[in-house]
Amino acid sequence: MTIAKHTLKLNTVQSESDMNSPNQTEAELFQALQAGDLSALGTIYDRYGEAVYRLALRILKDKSEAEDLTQEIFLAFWRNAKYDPNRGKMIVYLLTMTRSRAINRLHQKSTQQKLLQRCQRSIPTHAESNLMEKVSLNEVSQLITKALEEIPDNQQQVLKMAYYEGLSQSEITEQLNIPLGTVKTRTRQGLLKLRKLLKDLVD
Amino acid sequence: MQPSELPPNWEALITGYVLSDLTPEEAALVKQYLETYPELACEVESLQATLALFPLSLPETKPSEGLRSQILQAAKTELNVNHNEIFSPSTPVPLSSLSSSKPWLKIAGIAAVGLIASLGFFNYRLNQKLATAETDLSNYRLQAQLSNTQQELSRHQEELSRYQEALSVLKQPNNRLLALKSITSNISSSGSLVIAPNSEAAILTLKNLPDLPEDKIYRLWAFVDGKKVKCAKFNPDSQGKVLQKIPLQKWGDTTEVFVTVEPKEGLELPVGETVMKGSRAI
Repeated sequence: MTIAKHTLKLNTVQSESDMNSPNQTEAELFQALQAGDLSALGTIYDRYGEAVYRLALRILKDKSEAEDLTQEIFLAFWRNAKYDPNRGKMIVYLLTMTRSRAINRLHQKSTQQKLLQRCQRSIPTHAESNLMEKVSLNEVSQLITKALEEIPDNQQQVLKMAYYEGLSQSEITEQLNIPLGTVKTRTRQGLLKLRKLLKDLVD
Repeated sequence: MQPSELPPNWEALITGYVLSDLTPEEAALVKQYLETYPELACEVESLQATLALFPLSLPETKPSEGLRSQILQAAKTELNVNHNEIFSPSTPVPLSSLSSSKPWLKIAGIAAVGLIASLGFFNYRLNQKLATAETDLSNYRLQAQLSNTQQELSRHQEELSRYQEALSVLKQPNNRLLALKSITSNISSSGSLVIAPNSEAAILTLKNLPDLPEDKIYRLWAFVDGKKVKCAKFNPDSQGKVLQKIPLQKWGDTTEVFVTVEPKEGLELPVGETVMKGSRAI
Protein backbone atom coordinates (compact mmCIF):
# COMPACT_ATOMS: atom_id res chain seq x y z
CA MET A 1 0.00 0.00 0.00
CA THR A 2 2.79 2.42 0.83
CA ILE A 3 4.47 1.64 -2.47
CA ALA A 4 1.31 2.43 -4.35
CA LYS A 5 0.72 5.72 -2.60
CA HIS A 6 4.32 6.75 -2.96
CA THR A 7 4.37 6.01 -6.68
CA LEU A 8 1.10 7.81 -7.20
CA LYS A 9 2.26 10.99 -5.56
CA LEU A 10 5.47 11.11 -7.56
CA ASN A 11 3.81 10.62 -10.88
CA THR A 12 0.80 12.86 -10.42
CA VAL A 13 3.03 15.89 -10.61
CA GLN A 14 4.88 14.70 -13.70
CA SER A 15 1.82 13.70 -15.62
CA GLU A 16 0.20 17.12 -15.92
CA SER A 17 2.42 18.00 -18.87
CA ASP A 18 2.40 14.82 -20.90
CA MET A 19 -1.29 14.08 -21.30
CA ASN A 20 -2.70 13.82 -24.79
CA SER A 21 -5.38 16.48 -24.49
CA PRO A 22 -4.88 18.17 -21.18
CA ASN A 23 -7.96 20.33 -21.62
CA GLN A 24 -10.37 17.59 -22.48
CA THR A 25 -11.89 15.62 -19.67
CA GLU A 26 -13.38 12.22 -20.36
CA ALA A 27 -16.86 13.69 -20.18
CA GLU A 28 -15.99 16.28 -22.83
CA LEU A 29 -14.34 13.68 -25.00
CA PHE A 30 -17.35 11.43 -24.77
CA GLN A 31 -19.69 14.29 -25.60
CA ALA A 32 -17.64 15.09 -28.69
CA LEU A 33 -17.64 11.42 -29.62
CA GLN A 34 -21.39 11.27 -29.40
CA ALA A 35 -21.63 14.29 -31.64
CA GLY A 36 -19.77 12.27 -34.27
CA ASP A 37 -16.40 13.95 -33.77
CA LEU A 38 -13.84 11.57 -35.23
CA SER A 39 -10.92 13.35 -33.63
CA ALA A 40 -12.41 12.49 -30.23
CA LEU A 41 -12.33 8.84 -31.24
CA GLY A 42 -8.69 9.33 -32.23
CA THR A 43 -7.87 10.84 -28.85
CA ILE A 44 -9.63 8.05 -26.98
CA TYR A 45 -7.74 5.50 -29.05
CA ASP A 46 -4.46 7.29 -28.31
CA ARG A 47 -5.21 7.09 -24.61
CA TYR A 48 -6.59 3.59 -24.30
CA GLY A 49 -5.99 1.75 -27.58
CA GLU A 50 -2.88 0.01 -26.34
CA ALA A 51 -4.47 -1.10 -23.07
CA VAL A 52 -7.43 -2.56 -24.94
CA TYR A 53 -5.10 -4.28 -27.40
CA ARG A 54 -2.89 -5.73 -24.67
CA LEU A 55 -5.86 -7.27 -22.90
CA ALA A 56 -7.31 -8.57 -26.16
CA LEU A 57 -3.94 -10.11 -27.04
CA ARG A 58 -3.53 -11.68 -23.61
CA ILE A 59 -6.92 -13.37 -23.83
CA LEU A 60 -7.06 -14.22 -27.52
CA LYS A 61 -3.32 -14.98 -27.91
CA ASP A 62 -3.43 -13.93 -31.55
CA LYS A 63 -2.16 -10.61 -32.85
CA SER A 64 -4.56 -10.14 -35.73
CA GLU A 65 -7.56 -11.28 -33.75
CA ALA A 66 -6.58 -8.92 -30.95
CA GLU A 67 -6.39 -6.04 -33.43
CA ASP A 68 -9.71 -7.03 -34.87
CA LEU A 69 -11.28 -7.00 -31.41
CA THR A 70 -9.62 -3.66 -30.61
CA GLN A 71 -11.23 -2.19 -33.70
CA GLU A 72 -14.57 -3.75 -32.75
CA ILE A 73 -14.36 -2.26 -29.26
CA PHE A 74 -13.62 1.28 -30.42
CA LEU A 75 -16.18 1.19 -33.19
CA ALA A 76 -18.81 -0.16 -30.83
CA PHE A 77 -17.92 2.55 -28.33
CA TRP A 78 -18.18 5.14 -31.09
CA ARG A 79 -21.46 3.83 -32.45
CA ASN A 80 -23.50 3.30 -29.39
CA ALA A 81 -21.80 3.31 -26.04
CA LYS A 82 -23.94 2.79 -22.99
CA TYR A 83 -21.13 4.43 -21.11
CA ASP A 84 -22.02 7.15 -18.63
CA PRO A 85 -19.04 9.42 -17.88
CA ASN A 86 -20.61 10.46 -14.59
CA ARG A 87 -20.66 6.94 -13.32
CA GLY A 88 -17.22 5.55 -14.08
CA LYS A 89 -13.94 5.80 -15.86
CA MET A 90 -13.77 5.24 -19.57
CA ILE A 91 -10.83 2.84 -19.26
CA VAL A 92 -12.75 0.69 -16.78
CA TYR A 93 -15.66 0.55 -19.21
CA LEU A 94 -13.46 -0.20 -22.22
CA LEU A 95 -11.48 -2.92 -20.47
CA THR A 96 -14.60 -4.54 -19.06
CA MET A 97 -16.12 -4.58 -22.53
CA THR A 98 -12.88 -5.89 -24.03
CA ARG A 99 -12.63 -8.70 -21.53
CA SER A 100 -16.23 -9.78 -21.95
CA ARG A 101 -16.07 -9.73 -25.74
CA ALA A 102 -12.68 -11.46 -25.85
CA ILE A 103 -13.84 -14.23 -23.56
CA ASN A 104 -17.05 -14.51 -25.53
CA ARG A 105 -14.98 -15.05 -28.63
CA LEU A 106 -12.96 -17.71 -26.81
CA HIS A 107 -15.93 -19.69 -25.66
CA GLN A 108 -18.42 -18.49 -28.19
CA LYS A 109 -20.47 -21.61 -28.45
CA SER A 110 -20.41 -23.55 -25.23
CA THR A 111 -20.54 -20.96 -22.51
CA GLN A 112 -21.76 -17.86 -24.27
CA GLN A 113 -24.85 -17.38 -22.21
CA LYS A 114 -23.15 -17.97 -18.92
CA LEU A 115 -20.37 -15.52 -19.67
CA LEU A 116 -22.74 -12.93 -20.92
CA GLN A 117 -24.47 -12.94 -17.58
CA ARG A 118 -21.18 -12.84 -15.79
CA CYS A 119 -19.88 -9.97 -17.86
CA GLN A 120 -23.07 -8.01 -17.58
CA ARG A 121 -22.90 -8.29 -13.87
CA SER A 122 -19.30 -7.20 -13.75
CA ILE A 123 -19.64 -3.96 -15.67
CA PRO A 124 -18.85 -1.36 -13.04
CA THR A 125 -21.36 1.40 -12.67
CA HIS A 126 -19.38 3.69 -10.48
CA ALA A 127 -15.72 4.38 -9.95
CA GLU A 128 -14.93 7.93 -9.04
CA SER A 129 -11.31 8.85 -9.16
CA ASN A 130 -9.95 12.22 -10.00
CA LEU A 131 -6.54 10.70 -9.83
CA MET A 132 -7.32 8.60 -12.89
CA GLU A 133 -7.81 11.77 -14.88
CA LYS A 134 -4.50 13.13 -13.80
CA VAL A 135 -2.15 10.25 -14.38
CA SER A 136 -1.31 8.75 -17.72
CA LEU A 137 -2.15 5.22 -18.59
CA ASN A 138 1.50 4.20 -18.42
CA GLU A 139 1.68 5.40 -14.87
CA VAL A 140 -1.47 3.51 -13.96
CA SER A 141 0.08 0.43 -15.55
CA GLN A 142 3.21 0.84 -13.46
CA LEU A 143 1.12 1.26 -10.32
CA ILE A 144 -0.86 -1.86 -10.95
CA THR A 145 2.24 -3.85 -11.85
CA LYS A 146 3.85 -2.79 -8.60
CA ALA A 147 0.72 -3.57 -6.63
CA LEU A 148 0.59 -7.02 -8.19
CA GLU A 149 4.13 -7.70 -7.01
CA GLU A 150 2.78 -7.41 -3.48
CA ILE A 151 0.31 -10.21 -4.04
CA PRO A 152 1.40 -13.81 -3.46
CA ASP A 153 2.04 -15.80 -6.63
CA ASN A 154 -0.64 -18.39 -5.91
CA GLN A 155 -3.27 -15.63 -5.59
CA GLN A 156 -2.08 -13.98 -8.78
CA GLN A 157 -2.24 -17.30 -10.58
CA VAL A 158 -5.92 -17.96 -9.81
CA LEU A 159 -6.88 -14.36 -10.47
CA LYS A 160 -5.26 -14.50 -13.89
CA MET A 161 -6.89 -17.81 -14.74
CA ALA A 162 -10.31 -16.46 -13.81
CA TYR A 163 -9.82 -13.11 -15.48
CA TYR A 164 -7.94 -13.86 -18.68
CA GLU A 165 -9.19 -17.33 -19.41
CA GLY A 166 -12.71 -16.86 -18.14
CA LEU A 167 -12.43 -20.05 -16.12
CA SER A 168 -14.92 -20.78 -13.39
CA GLN A 169 -13.72 -21.58 -9.90
CA SER A 170 -14.46 -25.26 -10.37
CA GLU A 171 -12.53 -25.33 -13.66
CA ILE A 172 -9.56 -23.78 -11.87
CA THR A 173 -9.97 -26.38 -9.14
CA GLU A 174 -9.71 -29.12 -11.74
CA GLN A 175 -6.74 -27.63 -13.54
CA LEU A 176 -4.70 -26.92 -10.41
CA ASN A 177 -5.93 -29.92 -8.49
CA ILE A 178 -6.63 -27.89 -5.35
CA PRO A 179 -9.86 -27.69 -3.33
CA LEU A 180 -12.61 -25.32 -4.45
CA GLY A 181 -12.50 -23.52 -1.11
CA THR A 182 -8.81 -22.77 -1.61
CA VAL A 183 -9.43 -21.38 -5.08
CA LYS A 184 -12.16 -19.11 -3.76
CA THR A 185 -10.09 -17.92 -0.84
CA ARG A 186 -7.09 -17.18 -3.03
CA THR A 187 -8.98 -15.23 -5.70
CA ARG A 188 -10.93 -13.26 -3.13
CA GLN A 189 -7.90 -12.45 -1.02
CA GLY A 190 -5.94 -11.52 -4.14
CA LEU A 191 -8.62 -9.14 -5.34
CA LEU A 192 -9.18 -7.63 -1.90
CA LYS A 193 -5.51 -6.99 -1.46
CA LEU A 194 -5.21 -5.48 -4.93
CA ARG A 195 -8.15 -3.26 -4.18
CA LYS A 196 -6.53 -2.05 -0.98
CA LEU A 197 -3.26 -1.35 -2.75
CA LEU A 198 -5.04 0.58 -5.49
CA LYS A 199 -7.48 2.32 -3.18
CA ASP A 200 -6.44 5.80 -4.18
CA LEU A 201 -6.82 4.94 -7.81
CA VAL A 202 -10.26 3.38 -7.81
CA ASP A 203 -12.07 4.99 -4.86
CA MET B 1 -16.90 2.08 5.76
CA GLN B 2 -18.09 -0.23 8.47
CA PRO B 3 -21.62 -1.41 7.75
CA SER B 4 -23.39 -2.56 10.85
CA GLU B 5 -25.47 -5.71 11.21
CA LEU B 6 -23.69 -7.40 8.36
CA PRO B 7 -22.23 -10.87 8.79
CA PRO B 8 -18.54 -10.94 9.61
CA ASN B 9 -17.76 -12.43 6.19
CA TRP B 10 -19.47 -9.63 4.22
CA GLU B 11 -16.22 -8.61 2.57
CA ALA B 12 -15.56 -12.15 1.34
CA LEU B 13 -19.13 -12.34 0.10
CA ILE B 14 -19.05 -9.17 -1.97
CA THR B 15 -15.62 -10.11 -3.34
CA GLY B 16 -17.07 -13.44 -4.35
CA TYR B 17 -19.99 -11.58 -5.89
CA VAL B 18 -17.65 -9.51 -8.03
CA LEU B 19 -15.70 -12.64 -8.98
CA SER B 20 -18.95 -14.50 -9.71
CA ASP B 21 -17.95 -17.43 -7.53
CA LEU B 22 -20.95 -17.42 -5.20
CA THR B 23 -23.60 -20.08 -4.92
CA PRO B 24 -27.05 -18.90 -6.03
CA GLU B 25 -28.07 -18.65 -2.37
CA GLU B 26 -25.03 -16.53 -1.48
CA ALA B 27 -25.62 -14.32 -4.54
CA ALA B 28 -29.22 -13.77 -3.46
CA LEU B 29 -27.99 -12.84 0.01
CA VAL B 30 -25.56 -10.28 -1.42
CA LYS B 31 -28.31 -8.75 -3.55
CA GLN B 32 -30.39 -8.46 -0.40
CA TYR B 33 -27.49 -6.75 1.41
CA LEU B 34 -27.07 -4.38 -1.50
CA GLU B 35 -30.70 -3.39 -1.25
CA THR B 36 -30.56 -2.96 2.50
CA TYR B 37 -27.20 -1.18 2.58
CA PRO B 38 -26.86 0.96 -0.54
CA GLU B 39 -23.47 2.14 0.67
CA LEU B 40 -22.23 -1.40 0.09
CA ALA B 41 -22.60 -0.76 -3.65
CA CYS B 42 -19.54 1.52 -3.49
CA GLU B 43 -17.48 -1.37 -2.19
CA VAL B 44 -18.74 -3.60 -4.97
CA GLU B 45 -18.05 -0.97 -7.62
CA SER B 46 -14.60 -0.34 -6.27
CA LEU B 47 -13.80 -4.06 -6.44
CA GLN B 48 -15.23 -4.25 -9.95
CA ALA B 49 -13.09 -1.31 -11.04
CA THR B 50 -10.01 -2.94 -9.49
CA LEU B 51 -10.71 -6.12 -11.40
CA ALA B 52 -11.27 -4.16 -14.62
CA LEU B 53 -7.94 -2.34 -14.22
CA PHE B 54 -6.09 -5.54 -13.40
CA PRO B 55 -5.02 -6.12 -17.07
CA LEU B 56 -3.17 -2.80 -17.12
CA SER B 57 -0.34 -4.74 -15.50
CA LEU B 58 0.15 -6.69 -18.72
CA PRO B 59 3.51 -6.25 -20.42
CA GLU B 60 3.74 -3.41 -22.88
CA THR B 61 2.71 -4.51 -26.39
CA LYS B 62 1.75 -2.16 -29.15
CA PRO B 63 -0.76 -2.86 -31.89
CA SER B 64 0.18 -2.26 -35.54
CA GLU B 65 0.85 1.32 -36.52
CA GLY B 66 -2.01 1.28 -39.01
CA LEU B 67 -4.71 0.18 -36.57
CA ARG B 68 -5.54 3.70 -35.45
CA SER B 69 -6.14 4.98 -38.96
CA GLN B 70 -7.99 1.80 -39.87
CA ILE B 71 -10.43 2.33 -36.99
CA LEU B 72 -10.88 6.01 -37.80
CA GLN B 73 -11.41 5.18 -41.46
CA ALA B 74 -14.05 2.58 -40.60
CA ALA B 75 -15.80 5.09 -38.33
CA LYS B 76 -15.59 7.76 -41.04
CA THR B 77 -17.08 5.44 -43.63
CA GLU B 78 -20.01 4.71 -41.36
CA LEU B 79 -20.44 8.39 -40.66
CA ASN B 80 -20.43 9.23 -44.35
CA VAL B 81 -23.18 6.80 -45.24
CA ASN B 82 -25.96 9.27 -44.65
CA HIS B 83 -23.87 12.29 -43.96
CA ASN B 84 -24.49 13.90 -47.33
CA GLU B 85 -28.20 13.57 -46.91
CA ILE B 86 -28.10 15.37 -43.60
CA PHE B 87 -25.70 18.15 -44.38
CA SER B 88 -26.85 19.67 -47.61
CA PRO B 89 -24.11 20.41 -50.12
CA SER B 90 -24.46 24.15 -49.55
CA THR B 91 -21.24 25.83 -48.49
CA PRO B 92 -20.61 25.60 -44.77
CA VAL B 93 -19.94 28.79 -42.91
CA PRO B 94 -16.23 28.89 -42.05
CA LEU B 95 -15.61 29.88 -38.48
CA SER B 96 -12.77 32.14 -39.55
CA SER B 97 -15.20 34.30 -41.50
CA LEU B 98 -16.86 35.36 -38.26
CA SER B 99 -15.67 38.75 -37.23
CA SER B 100 -12.61 38.48 -35.03
CA SER B 101 -13.43 41.83 -33.46
CA LYS B 102 -16.41 40.17 -31.85
CA PRO B 103 -15.05 37.21 -29.93
CA TRP B 104 -18.46 36.47 -28.40
CA LEU B 105 -19.80 35.98 -31.90
CA LYS B 106 -17.08 33.47 -32.62
CA ILE B 107 -17.83 31.61 -29.40
CA ALA B 108 -21.52 31.61 -30.24
CA GLY B 109 -20.59 30.43 -33.72
CA ILE B 110 -18.55 27.55 -32.36
CA ALA B 111 -21.35 26.63 -30.00
CA ALA B 112 -23.87 26.79 -32.82
CA VAL B 113 -21.72 24.66 -35.11
CA GLY B 114 -21.27 22.17 -32.27
CA LEU B 115 -25.00 22.11 -31.70
CA ILE B 116 -25.69 21.72 -35.40
CA ALA B 117 -23.15 18.90 -35.57
CA SER B 118 -24.75 17.18 -32.58
CA LEU B 119 -28.21 17.62 -34.01
CA GLY B 120 -26.94 16.49 -37.37
CA PHE B 121 -25.46 13.36 -35.93
CA PHE B 122 -28.57 12.69 -33.90
CA ASN B 123 -30.55 13.20 -37.06
CA TYR B 124 -28.19 10.88 -38.90
CA ARG B 125 -28.82 8.12 -36.37
CA LEU B 126 -32.57 8.68 -36.53
CA ASN B 127 -32.39 8.61 -40.30
CA GLN B 128 -30.51 5.34 -40.16
CA LYS B 129 -33.17 3.84 -37.91
CA LEU B 130 -35.90 5.26 -40.12
CA ALA B 131 -34.24 3.90 -43.24
CA THR B 132 -34.04 0.44 -41.70
CA ALA B 133 -37.63 0.62 -40.58
CA GLU B 134 -38.71 1.86 -43.99
CA THR B 135 -36.81 -0.91 -45.73
CA ASP B 136 -38.45 -3.47 -43.50
CA LEU B 137 -41.85 -1.90 -44.06
CA SER B 138 -41.34 -1.60 -47.76
CA ASN B 139 -40.21 -5.24 -47.99
CA TYR B 140 -43.27 -6.25 -46.07
CA ARG B 141 -45.51 -4.17 -48.31
CA LEU B 142 -43.86 -5.49 -51.45
CA GLN B 143 -44.38 -9.03 -50.28
CA ALA B 144 -48.01 -8.34 -49.47
CA GLN B 145 -48.41 -6.66 -52.84
CA LEU B 146 -46.72 -9.55 -54.60
CA SER B 147 -48.97 -12.04 -52.90
CA ASN B 148 -52.05 -9.99 -53.87
CA THR B 149 -50.84 -9.73 -57.44
CA GLN B 150 -50.26 -13.46 -57.58
CA GLN B 151 -53.76 -14.09 -56.30
CA GLU B 152 -55.17 -11.63 -58.80
CA LEU B 153 -53.19 -13.21 -61.61
CA SER B 154 -54.46 -16.61 -60.70
CA ARG B 155 -58.03 -15.25 -60.63
CA HIS B 156 -57.50 -13.66 -64.03
CA GLN B 157 -56.09 -16.87 -65.44
CA GLU B 158 -59.10 -18.76 -64.15
CA GLU B 159 -61.43 -16.20 -65.69
CA LEU B 160 -59.52 -16.23 -68.96
CA SER B 161 -59.83 -19.96 -69.21
CA ARG B 162 -63.58 -19.66 -68.62
CA TYR B 163 -63.81 -17.05 -71.38
CA GLN B 164 -61.78 -19.24 -73.72
CA GLU B 165 -64.02 -22.17 -72.97
CA ALA B 166 -67.10 -20.02 -73.52
CA LEU B 167 -65.66 -18.65 -76.74
CA SER B 168 -65.05 -22.10 -78.14
CA VAL B 169 -68.69 -22.97 -77.40
CA LEU B 170 -69.90 -19.73 -78.96
CA LYS B 171 -67.97 -20.38 -82.15
CA GLN B 172 -69.86 -23.56 -82.86
CA PRO B 173 -72.29 -23.66 -85.84
CA ASN B 174 -76.05 -24.11 -85.24
CA ASN B 175 -75.94 -21.99 -82.11
CA ARG B 176 -79.13 -20.31 -80.97
CA LEU B 177 -79.33 -17.11 -79.01
CA LEU B 178 -81.95 -16.20 -76.44
CA ALA B 179 -81.85 -12.58 -75.32
CA LEU B 180 -82.60 -12.02 -71.63
CA LYS B 181 -84.01 -8.86 -70.09
CA SER B 182 -85.09 -7.71 -66.69
CA ILE B 183 -88.80 -7.66 -66.12
CA THR B 184 -88.74 -5.51 -62.99
CA SER B 185 -88.46 -1.77 -63.38
CA ASN B 186 -85.83 -1.19 -60.72
CA ILE B 187 -83.26 -3.60 -62.24
CA SER B 188 -81.55 -3.02 -65.56
CA SER B 189 -80.04 -6.46 -65.99
CA SER B 190 -79.69 -7.97 -69.42
CA GLY B 191 -77.80 -10.71 -71.21
CA SER B 192 -78.08 -13.78 -73.34
CA LEU B 193 -78.15 -17.51 -73.36
CA VAL B 194 -76.39 -19.13 -76.31
CA ILE B 195 -77.38 -22.73 -76.81
CA ALA B 196 -74.73 -24.68 -78.68
CA PRO B 197 -76.09 -28.14 -79.46
CA ASN B 198 -72.83 -29.22 -81.10
CA SER B 199 -71.00 -28.64 -77.80
CA GLU B 200 -73.94 -29.93 -75.74
CA ALA B 201 -73.66 -26.78 -73.73
CA ALA B 202 -75.10 -23.33 -73.31
CA ILE B 203 -73.35 -20.13 -72.31
CA LEU B 204 -75.19 -17.76 -70.04
CA THR B 205 -73.89 -14.17 -69.95
CA LEU B 206 -75.62 -11.52 -67.85
CA LYS B 207 -74.79 -8.07 -66.55
CA ASN B 208 -76.10 -5.63 -63.95
CA LEU B 209 -77.48 -8.38 -61.82
CA PRO B 210 -77.93 -7.28 -58.19
CA ASP B 211 -76.37 -9.20 -55.29
CA LEU B 212 -78.65 -11.49 -53.35
CA PRO B 213 -78.88 -12.23 -49.63
CA GLU B 214 -76.74 -15.12 -48.35
CA ASP B 215 -79.56 -17.66 -48.41
CA LYS B 216 -80.78 -16.83 -51.93
CA ILE B 217 -79.57 -17.75 -55.40
CA TYR B 218 -80.54 -17.05 -59.02
CA ARG B 219 -81.92 -19.92 -61.06
CA LEU B 220 -82.37 -20.28 -64.78
CA TRP B 221 -85.42 -22.16 -65.97
CA ALA B 222 -86.53 -23.24 -69.44
CA PHE B 223 -89.99 -23.91 -70.82
CA VAL B 224 -90.07 -27.30 -72.46
CA ASP B 225 -93.40 -28.48 -73.78
CA GLY B 226 -95.21 -26.07 -71.50
CA LYS B 227 -93.33 -27.29 -68.44
CA LYS B 228 -90.76 -25.46 -66.36
CA VAL B 229 -87.41 -27.28 -66.34
CA LYS B 230 -84.52 -26.20 -64.14
CA CYS B 231 -81.29 -25.42 -65.99
CA ALA B 232 -78.74 -23.91 -63.64
CA LYS B 233 -78.13 -21.84 -60.55
CA PHE B 234 -75.72 -18.93 -60.37
CA ASN B 235 -74.64 -15.77 -58.62
CA PRO B 236 -73.16 -12.63 -60.20
CA ASP B 237 -69.61 -11.54 -59.49
CA SER B 238 -68.80 -8.34 -57.62
CA GLN B 239 -69.54 -6.32 -60.75
CA GLY B 240 -72.93 -7.90 -61.27
CA LYS B 241 -71.75 -10.09 -64.16
CA VAL B 242 -72.39 -13.74 -64.90
CA LEU B 243 -70.54 -15.95 -67.35
CA GLN B 244 -71.47 -19.58 -66.99
CA LYS B 245 -71.21 -22.66 -69.09
CA ILE B 246 -74.24 -24.93 -68.58
CA PRO B 247 -74.43 -28.52 -69.79
CA LEU B 248 -77.31 -29.05 -72.17
CA GLN B 249 -79.93 -31.48 -71.08
CA LYS B 250 -83.51 -31.98 -72.10
CA TRP B 251 -84.13 -28.28 -72.51
CA GLY B 252 -81.85 -27.86 -75.58
CA ASP B 253 -84.74 -27.01 -77.87
CA THR B 254 -86.34 -24.44 -75.63
CA THR B 255 -87.37 -21.09 -76.99
CA GLU B 256 -88.15 -19.40 -73.72
CA VAL B 257 -86.23 -19.11 -70.48
CA PHE B 258 -86.57 -17.11 -67.28
CA VAL B 259 -84.57 -16.29 -64.17
CA THR B 260 -85.95 -16.41 -60.65
CA VAL B 261 -84.67 -15.74 -57.16
CA GLU B 262 -84.85 -18.95 -55.15
CA PRO B 263 -83.75 -20.39 -51.84
CA LYS B 264 -80.19 -21.69 -52.03
CA GLU B 265 -81.07 -25.32 -51.71
CA GLY B 266 -82.79 -27.05 -54.55
CA LEU B 267 -86.41 -27.04 -55.51
CA GLU B 268 -87.71 -28.75 -58.61
CA LEU B 269 -90.07 -25.92 -59.43
CA PRO B 270 -89.70 -22.17 -59.15
CA VAL B 271 -91.31 -20.55 -56.12
CA GLY B 272 -89.51 -17.22 -56.06
CA GLU B 273 -89.89 -13.98 -57.94
CA THR B 274 -89.13 -13.97 -61.66
CA VAL B 275 -86.61 -11.24 -62.43
CA MET B 276 -85.63 -11.85 -66.08
CA LYS B 277 -87.12 -13.39 -69.13
CA GLY B 278 -85.60 -14.46 -72.40
CA SER B 279 -86.88 -15.62 -75.74
CA ARG B 280 -85.42 -16.70 -79.01
CA ALA B 281 -84.03 -13.78 -80.96
CA ILE B 282 -82.09 -15.51 -83.71
